[in-house]
Amino acid sequence: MSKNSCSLFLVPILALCVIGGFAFYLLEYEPMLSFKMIAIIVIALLVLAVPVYRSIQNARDKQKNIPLEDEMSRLLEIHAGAYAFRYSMMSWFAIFAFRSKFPDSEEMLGIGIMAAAAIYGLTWLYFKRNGIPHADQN
Amino acid sequence: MPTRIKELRARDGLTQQQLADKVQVRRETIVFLEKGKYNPSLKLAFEISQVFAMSIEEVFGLGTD
Repeated sequence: MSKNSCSLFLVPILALCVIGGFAFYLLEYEPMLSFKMIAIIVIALLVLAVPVYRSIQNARDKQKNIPLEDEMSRLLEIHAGAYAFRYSMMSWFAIFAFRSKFPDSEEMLGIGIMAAAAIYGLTWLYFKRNGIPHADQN
Repeated sequence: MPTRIKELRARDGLTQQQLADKVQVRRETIVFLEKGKYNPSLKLAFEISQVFAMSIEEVFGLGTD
């Protein structure tokens, strides 16, 4: 099984696991939904939507015999990863600067991880729409 | 990098998707190449030139400066 075929199966399975885990946690520990919990669920679903959307797109492309990745898409992922890492570092500094605002460290870590994932997704979408920086220069 | 891909595609009656299929890349790559927002690898430049039966310099405007 190729890397791409593997990701076609893995992404929906991982997405289902995360949604299932959330559902279990909510039923077991938080039967009364607070506004904060709803906000976390909405952000988590948005973060999850990007890989699921990409997985559906990839499945459609595979049916049409369109290559799932090529030299530009690989470069796009590398650049998006590099920029997302830089911006995630900034977000972690901001989170630590305001750490007194968070009631506990677990919540702070959760928000930081979701922010990092969201930053990567947004960076990838931005570069896909507007082009990869400096990719027109050698 | 300036390219003549759009012009040559129109000459040969190829869509972006058809050209992408011939050189085994995604259509977005052809879009970015046509806009001059992406410099292809030597391999891809060679393959695109072969589709149009021209040299790399003729397709990618390397000899125009």
